[in-house]
Amino acid sequence: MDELYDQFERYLEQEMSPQERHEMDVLIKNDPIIAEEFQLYQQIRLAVSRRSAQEKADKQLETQLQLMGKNYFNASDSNAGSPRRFSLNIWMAVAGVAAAVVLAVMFLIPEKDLYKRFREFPDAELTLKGSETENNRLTDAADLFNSGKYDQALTIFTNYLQNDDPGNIEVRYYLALCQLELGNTGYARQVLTNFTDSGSAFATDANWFLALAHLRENNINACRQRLTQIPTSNTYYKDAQKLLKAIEGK
Amino acid sequence: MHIHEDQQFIEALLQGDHAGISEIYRRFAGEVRRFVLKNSGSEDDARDMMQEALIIITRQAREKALALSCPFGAYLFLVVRGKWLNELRKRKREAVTIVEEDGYTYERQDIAQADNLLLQEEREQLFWEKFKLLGERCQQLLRLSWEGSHNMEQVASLLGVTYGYARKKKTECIDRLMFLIKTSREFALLQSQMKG
Repeated sequence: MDELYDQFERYLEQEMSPQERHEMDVLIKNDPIIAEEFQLYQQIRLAVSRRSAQEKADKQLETQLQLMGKNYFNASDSNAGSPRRFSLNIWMAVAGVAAAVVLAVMFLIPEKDLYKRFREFPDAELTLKGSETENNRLTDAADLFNSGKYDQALTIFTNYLQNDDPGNIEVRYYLALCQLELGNTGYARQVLTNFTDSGSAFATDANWFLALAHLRENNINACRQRLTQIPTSNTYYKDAQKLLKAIEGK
Repeated sequence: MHIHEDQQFIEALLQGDHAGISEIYRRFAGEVRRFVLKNSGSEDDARDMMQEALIIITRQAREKALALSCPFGAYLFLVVRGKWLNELRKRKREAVTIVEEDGYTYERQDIAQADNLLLQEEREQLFWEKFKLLGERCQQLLRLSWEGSHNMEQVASLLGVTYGYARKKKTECIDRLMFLIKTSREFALLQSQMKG
């Protein structure tokens, strides 16, 4: 399938010879599975290029609507709009049941499930600046990380930092994410905290993963505190807002 | 097709016209709030739904020259309703029952247009979210290649790498993007909705 995408790309970029182009036309026309893949590929390509081109305009509109929305909707009030026609005693009974439900939900949806729901790592892409052997090792580690084999990636990252380039911040960052995923949250926090204080490119993203580390440790207050430090411009801002809502009342 | 006079609201969104957008909120925010609150949502949910629906409508207007054939409020409400239904499903409330009370009458074509819009939007959002998970260099390479009119020689030159490296990297980036999309649970769900 990977080779097929390369062919689609060359076809759409007009990089094929007339003969290759003709063969591709025939393939798309006669094979419904290939035709469906081609259609999907085109849709993805178009959607990404459009969103990319309009990213700035979308962001501006979103900011404008956010500000305006504040004038027309009240601040957080999850009970707004409920008709108040019961007596106080009934309300107290309802509140009692609600509290029980909240407690039940807190046990039924533990933090580790919330963590799984929100955890999505970026792809590891590492700058290759060492010898060929070192570069190959890093490429292997990045592939392992990207395919979810965090324990194997961690071994290579650890060796690399010990033996080759102890100051490599990219490797340290992805190593921390491996540790986070493998449950070594204390270690992950220690490394990630250095990033938030460093002003590096990973600084604001590190806050998001620190929040997830606290979530795994069931330290909801610390999690909340980290989430509120994520600026609107950050990739994880929307996820942070959703997670804030999810931990509301915990 | 007759274009409804409320097309002015679409224009206001496209232009980012403050007065026009204020008017949209003034006239329709209350209705959106009532609907969301009546259907298990909070004030914050209502605000988010209104905002997201307006962004979706603006995108559609920008990309596909949306022409309103019904009142703006009715169309907005259809989009909010669909979005909120999806949101409730995502929150895993098994039996989703919507209390209908918007007072609009809809043409079949308007309902189909809104449903189709939402499905496309969800798909495009998924593609975009997975794209944003790619590494910085992959994103930069694909943006240059897909968004602009640069050929691969130009892309390689802009990135300061060889043509061969850029070509190889692009293939890797595309494979990764396709993998992220096609192995996601959301993609499987959206595909089944499209086919159903």
